Amino acid sequence: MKVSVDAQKCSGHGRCYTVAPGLLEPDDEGFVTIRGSAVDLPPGSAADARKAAEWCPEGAITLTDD
Amino acid sequence: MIEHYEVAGAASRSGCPVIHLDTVVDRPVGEWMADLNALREAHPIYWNEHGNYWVVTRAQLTREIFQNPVVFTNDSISPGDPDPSYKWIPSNINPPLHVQYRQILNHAFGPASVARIEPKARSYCRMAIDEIVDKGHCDYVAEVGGAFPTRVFLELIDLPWQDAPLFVSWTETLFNAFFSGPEAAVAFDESRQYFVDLIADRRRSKLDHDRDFTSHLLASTVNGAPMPDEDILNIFNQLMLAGLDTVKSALSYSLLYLATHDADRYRIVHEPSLIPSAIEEFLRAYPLVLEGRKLSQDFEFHGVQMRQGEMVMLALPAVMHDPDQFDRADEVLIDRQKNNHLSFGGGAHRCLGSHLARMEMAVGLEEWHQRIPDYRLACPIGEVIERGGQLSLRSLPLEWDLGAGS
Repeated sequence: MKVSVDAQKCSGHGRCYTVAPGLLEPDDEGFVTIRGSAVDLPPGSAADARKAAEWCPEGAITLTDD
Repeated sequence: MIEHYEVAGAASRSGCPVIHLDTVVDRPVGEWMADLNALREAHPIYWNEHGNYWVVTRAQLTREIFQNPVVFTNDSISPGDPDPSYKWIPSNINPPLHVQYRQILNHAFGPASVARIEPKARSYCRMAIDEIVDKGHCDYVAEVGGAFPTRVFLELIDLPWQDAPLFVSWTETLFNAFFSGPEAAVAFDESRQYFVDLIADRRRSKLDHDRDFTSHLLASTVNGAPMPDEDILNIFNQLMLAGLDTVKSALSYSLLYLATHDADRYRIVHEPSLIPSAIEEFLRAYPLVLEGRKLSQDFEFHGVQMRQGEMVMLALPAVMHDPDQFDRADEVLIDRQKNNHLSFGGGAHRCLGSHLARMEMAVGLEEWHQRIPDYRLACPIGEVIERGGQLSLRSLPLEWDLGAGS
């Protein structure tokens, strides 16, 4: 499973890395570091990734099966 | 009971009901929310003949507008004032230029910078509580909510906290006068002069621009050239106006809720780990800003023909209670499991100070409830008055028993 963050929509609300701190983290400006990319989810982190997507005000986070 | 707005007979504009809604009057707390909720339930978009702007009441439409800055521009963000005499930076700058300003500012307001000043924020908050804890009562708005965030803000932008009373006075005057009239002009000119003097001082003293916010601005470039002083002044004016009134208000609504809901107050005191989700819920339940956007072109929006130059108001208090977006939208659930609110706006203009605001709210709630876990509203709820425009409580009288937990 992959998690991707749409660079056009992500605007640095910071909700994703707040509700899923073990999975996502902020850069210096407050954007999630994986903005604009898709990364493989580590095992056992699907629930955190789903929560991050649900809390994103912009609908910028997508989960996809490999 | 809807008393403060009228639906103007059978009039409609492009299929939307015409209302007459004056948003800048004082009313008992809760009436604005009730009216705006009723409007949302009846229709997604209105034309407000008082002020001449569109009013959008639903969440999905609001998200679309935030995410479409080409059509819905920030040339004005004040619904009743399509051609403002001021230019706030970064609010009144559109992408792509806007990105350059945000890159200059984001770092100073990002999570790491905010975390660095949290210990100072905590001590300023304790100082404010020290002043009132032994009295057994206070006006939370003036004595706590309006006191420590100003100092925190000054700390973040490397200005002396002793200047806080100046900033409190300027912002209160400007908001209470809705930015017009002679008193507002004096407050505006005084604050502007403060920043003119600040810039001159930093030019002389040549501080490290990694350690001083004003020096950082002086060392910054826009379109390859040094940022003009006029831009720096416009940034400071915006930061002052956007940063002080809102945190005070957000904390005041949170305390009003907790003072009048004993079970949730008990949970906050005994399970402080709930505070982060409670903060998101207070932000969602009590949005403060009636945000505006200005149309750059004629545009048909969900069947409504809007015209170039017209303003749209995003009625966030209605939007954040939209049942299409939130389960049990009218209830305050301090442990809400899914909360993708837009109370900090959305799109490229997402509130620059949102990370700062969250930290200040956390500090404000944690410190208060450690010192004063049990307190109550000291007047009937009907006497708590809300200012319109940008929603805010005029005052919040709280009281508590001395000797019990203080």
